[in-house]
Amino acid sequence: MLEELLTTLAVLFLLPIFPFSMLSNFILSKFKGLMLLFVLSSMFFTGALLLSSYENQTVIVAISVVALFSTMFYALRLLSVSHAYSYLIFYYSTISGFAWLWKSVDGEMSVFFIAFILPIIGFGFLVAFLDKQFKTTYFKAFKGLGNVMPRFSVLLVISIVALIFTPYFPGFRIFIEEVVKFDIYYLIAIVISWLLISWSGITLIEKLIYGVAQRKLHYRDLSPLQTIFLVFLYLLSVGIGFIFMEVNLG
Amino acid sequence: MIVKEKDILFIDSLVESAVEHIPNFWPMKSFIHHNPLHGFENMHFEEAVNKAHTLFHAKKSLTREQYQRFYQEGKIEDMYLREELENFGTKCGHTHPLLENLFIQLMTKSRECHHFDEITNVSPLIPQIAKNLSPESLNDYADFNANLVKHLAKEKTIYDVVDMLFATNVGEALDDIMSQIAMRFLGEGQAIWNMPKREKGMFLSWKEIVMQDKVFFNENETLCRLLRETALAEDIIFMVLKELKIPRSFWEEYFTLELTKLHGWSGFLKYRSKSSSEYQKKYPAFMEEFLAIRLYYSYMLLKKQENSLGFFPSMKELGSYIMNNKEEAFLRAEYNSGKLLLSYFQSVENFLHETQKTDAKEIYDQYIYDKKIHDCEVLAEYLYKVLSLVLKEEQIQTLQAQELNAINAALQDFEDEEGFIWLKAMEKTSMMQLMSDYVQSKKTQEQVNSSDAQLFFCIDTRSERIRRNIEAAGAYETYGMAGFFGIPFKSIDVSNRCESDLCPAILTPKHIVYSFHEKEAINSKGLMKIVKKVLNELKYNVLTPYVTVEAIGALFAFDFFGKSLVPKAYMPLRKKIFDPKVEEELRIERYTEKEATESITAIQNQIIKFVIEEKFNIKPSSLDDEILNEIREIALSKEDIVQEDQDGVAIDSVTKLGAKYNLLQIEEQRLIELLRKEYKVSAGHMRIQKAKMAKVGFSFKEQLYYVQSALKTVGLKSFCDIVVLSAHASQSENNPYESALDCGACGGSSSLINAKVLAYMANKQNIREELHKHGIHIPEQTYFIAALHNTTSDVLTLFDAHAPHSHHEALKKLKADLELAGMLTAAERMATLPLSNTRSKQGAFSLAKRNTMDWSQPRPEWGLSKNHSFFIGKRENSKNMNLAGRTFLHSYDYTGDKKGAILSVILSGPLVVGEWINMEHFFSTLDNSAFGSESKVYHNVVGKLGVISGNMSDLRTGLPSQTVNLENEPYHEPLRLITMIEAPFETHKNVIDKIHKISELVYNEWIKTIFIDEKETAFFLYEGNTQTWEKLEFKTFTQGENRA
Repeated sequence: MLEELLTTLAVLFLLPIFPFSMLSNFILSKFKGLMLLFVLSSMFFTGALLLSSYENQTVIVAISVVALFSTMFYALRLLSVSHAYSYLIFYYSTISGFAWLWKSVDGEMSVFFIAFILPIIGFGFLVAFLDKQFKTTYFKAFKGLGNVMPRFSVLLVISIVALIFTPYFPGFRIFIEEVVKFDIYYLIAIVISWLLISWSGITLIEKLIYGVAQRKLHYRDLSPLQTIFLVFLYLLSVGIGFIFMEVNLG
Repeated sequence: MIVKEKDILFIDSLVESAVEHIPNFWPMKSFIHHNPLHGFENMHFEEAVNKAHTLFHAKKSLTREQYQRFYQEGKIEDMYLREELENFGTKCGHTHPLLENLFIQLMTKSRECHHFDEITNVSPLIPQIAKNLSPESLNDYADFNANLVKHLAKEKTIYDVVDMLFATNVGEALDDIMSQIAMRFLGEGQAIWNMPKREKGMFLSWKEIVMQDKVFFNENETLCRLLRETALAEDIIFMVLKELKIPRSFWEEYFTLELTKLHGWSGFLKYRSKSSSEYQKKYPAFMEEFLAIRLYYSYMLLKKQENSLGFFPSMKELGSYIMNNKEEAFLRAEYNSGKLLLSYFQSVENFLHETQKTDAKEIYDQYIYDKKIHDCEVLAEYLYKVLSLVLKEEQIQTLQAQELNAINAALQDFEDEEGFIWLKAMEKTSMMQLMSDYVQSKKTQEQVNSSDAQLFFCIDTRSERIRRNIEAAGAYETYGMAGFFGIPFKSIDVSNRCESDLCPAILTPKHIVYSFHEKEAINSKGLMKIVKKVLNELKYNVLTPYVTVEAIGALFAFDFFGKSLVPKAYMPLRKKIFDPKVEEELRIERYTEKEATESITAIQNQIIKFVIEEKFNIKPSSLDDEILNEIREIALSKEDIVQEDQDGVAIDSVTKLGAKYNLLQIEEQRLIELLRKEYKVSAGHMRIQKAKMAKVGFSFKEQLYYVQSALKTVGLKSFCDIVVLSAHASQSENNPYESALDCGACGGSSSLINAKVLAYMANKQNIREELHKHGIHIPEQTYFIAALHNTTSDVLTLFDAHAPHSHHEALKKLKADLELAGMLTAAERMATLPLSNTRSKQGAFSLAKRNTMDWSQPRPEWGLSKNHSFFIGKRENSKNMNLAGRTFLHSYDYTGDKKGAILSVILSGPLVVGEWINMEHFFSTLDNSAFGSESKVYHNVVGKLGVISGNMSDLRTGLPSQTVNLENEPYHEPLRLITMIEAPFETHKNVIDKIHKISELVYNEWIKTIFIDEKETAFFLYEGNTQTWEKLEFKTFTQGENRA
């Protein structure tokens, strides 16, 4: 009993949903750069592992109701973030809610993990790159990166496309599966969350990439090696997404 | 009404002053090249550019890299760059010996030395330099708040400051709303669903709509209650300014700020409100109304911010906030403008969102301290990089603080002036080149014994190439004059019901020329007409995409593939079916009284037939002349038909129409009233129509005057058997800017009708007889022919259908030579267009013709890009100059113009048009966002009057990027028009001084002026630096030096 309680609490912090996410997010906000990515990925991995072996379906179903609201809440919150680290952290909180929903319909957690870890790594890497160069990821500090950092900008767009469940990225299959397996009320809430996430992604692109770069900074683009790494990552992600579309995940 | 009569006039006069700096924007169907800074021509060019930088947020010059490219291509000579730097040093009092070399190195060699916002710590010397910088050389942020309040309502609107401080989007929202309103109201026939009740005028029709708008109309607001009661735009203006607490002394500037936000729409409205266009008569719109609507929305949007701000941001309240919350206001401004130091974003955001309780002063003090250090380090690094161009490390180390600060001060002034230095050096290089070419050209002049033909062309720069090639092809003389051939008139196409002013925009034509096209045979063309009508209706119907795409979309595929894949084969066929060529007839002679009466009578009878058919369903073919004449006469008289008998009952018809078709008298009376009131078949209107018809055509005296002027202007004394008057026009598909490529001297239209009119007049025997008495002897065998130069394909077509048979052989040879000249010209031009370089001249010619039909071609020709000079003088002296299609060429012989009367006509007409074209290209290249219209890819035609970018924007004025840029770099070289006037300086310089507009352009240096004095064998250049005319002898250029 105690073990189950502790496991439940652990998963609620590792795959955080509101209000447990407040603590998780606070801890994550203390990290930056690749360290944040490492911590976040570890949390995701551990949380997915624990949740995959969790068998109390009653508890999961009960938590999934809260998870649904948590997802919507953080999806909405994504629209008002002011820096990329916040976006990454709140995005993680958003999909954590999806993880609980996925589990509540007997979804394989390993599939969920694989679907989302690659886009998160890609996006996290880009955010860390931005922070390393400019010591900040606040959107107001940047504008018009599309003109001055073309490789970074293209890959940022692809990473956002991957994060917002676009077809042939694996997140899309997860999203569709969830949509079809739930009843109408859940479906509406999930779709609303998806729309909010998409909207936030487009807004982020607009804030960072569109326009003319105002500040006279030494804009250094991604190196060829970094570019190849990210391209490989996204190709892998698309490949996995393709497989997910063809294979029965049920 | 709350505003007094005198205040209405006051407001109207302020609005009139406020729009002075906004240039007119003419509808695109007759694109008029204009100087976007036309309203600033009363000030010096540099001052105007600086003012435009503030008002329109426009760039002042090209970037250093762009000028370096010109420098590397040899378009800017080192010598002239140094000269301008010397002038700059003298003007600003910077005399440190290091400076000249430093600036030259910086300008020509450096790509790295820009003022960055970031420190990279490239050398240990930087802290030392930073230590030596004086505080005066750095920004003092203490005055920020006071300056912001000072600029409020003078340089920034209230919502500009609100947006800056609170990250609201009031300005953007306001511009969107106003763009929508402008599009809806001012549209000229594109929309199927129009804004309702436009006839009431802009303000009143808008008022009806906004009163239904729950978002922007609130009965609790005083302003809204006033809007409900008033019909005056000035009332709203007055009320809003009162509510915003803007003092009267600021009003004019505030109006300027507001109206320049959307200077495209404002420019169009400025033109339209003063024009006599049908749309303005039907749907009147005025600047005061536009301003009132804008101010109304700005007030309502600011009102919506009241809750979140905690106060209503009137000028007073906002000013108090800025001064009483200095630290917070400053940090907000830094944060929202993106200027905040990168390491402060988190703490400032937390403070602003109150997630952390922090004292504003504490953050502010720390921030200012860090910012000043940052500024100092950044400046020190910049100075270090600049000094490294000319000094070694050890030398930099030994520089004293005083020297360092002097160099820094010089650099700061230099940054402001760098663009002008480059510009003047580039202009000087071009001027010297032109002068040298002129001297060489004079030396290599060939004596021409006799010519086979004389050809007149427009002064357009595109004529230069073809003139040169025609002269090389045979014994031909060419002359240049303004494309309207000195005959300004309004052309009315009666068949197609459209009109255009075929003269420069600065003139108002007094004459009218009707053009008629032969009637289409109803049987054979009726089906085509129906098909065209149906297709047009489908195209503009809002439901079509939903219901007919699947059904008939495939039909359009044929057209799509034809236009895209095989345009050269498909397009002529398409034109033949949908737009067949028809013979054009012009009415050039003045109507006699009899002819006028007969024409009006014929038109009135047609109207009567139409109305009778509409009203009584009686076929026009059954109405004979007797019936029509009777109805017409009754309508023209003042008598009424209805007569009642004693019992008040209407009695039977009195007209033949009534008798034939059993109409009652009351019906006949109604018919008459309808004809009089709606269709203007009345005595009064007939008098007006006769008066208008008196303007149609030219009297004998007028014809004589225009022919004489044209010939005297170019100084033509002897005549060949064939004289060709070549008009010009461009041809392209899917190009809203098509009229920008047509004749600027004809208001953006083809000048063919002008050529035909002059040819007709000059061929008349009685005109020639009269000219003979005035000393102009045109031989009997001389025949004037109109022609058209297609500037996109370089095909020159002669309209010689009525030429005498005796000229047949000569014409055959001429046509062959013109074909050859066209091919050579096309080959020259196509080499400059991207993806158009072909191996053979024939290939280039073919490609040029394809460009006239290719709907995917965003750049059918370069047009007037790269224009840089205007030559007024004899062709024999410019013939051998290397002008490369960049010069306006106007023929002029000063020997026949002792008093300068002809020169004054050329300067005040064609030169002004040339200057407008030059400045349009200049500023569109300088800043294609602010003054041009950016890429054609994003353009959408709106209201059939212009283009916008995307789905919502200001009306785009200026030239698109594809016209002036090549692969995002300038193709056009922005130089002020170098005007070379071949005339004696002493006697003809006063012509400039007598014409106010021209003296403004010359002495304010909007053009660069050179007199070519053959008698003195010297050039006289106007030097802006010394404000004097500098003499340069011809021999300077023959001795291999550029300066004496």
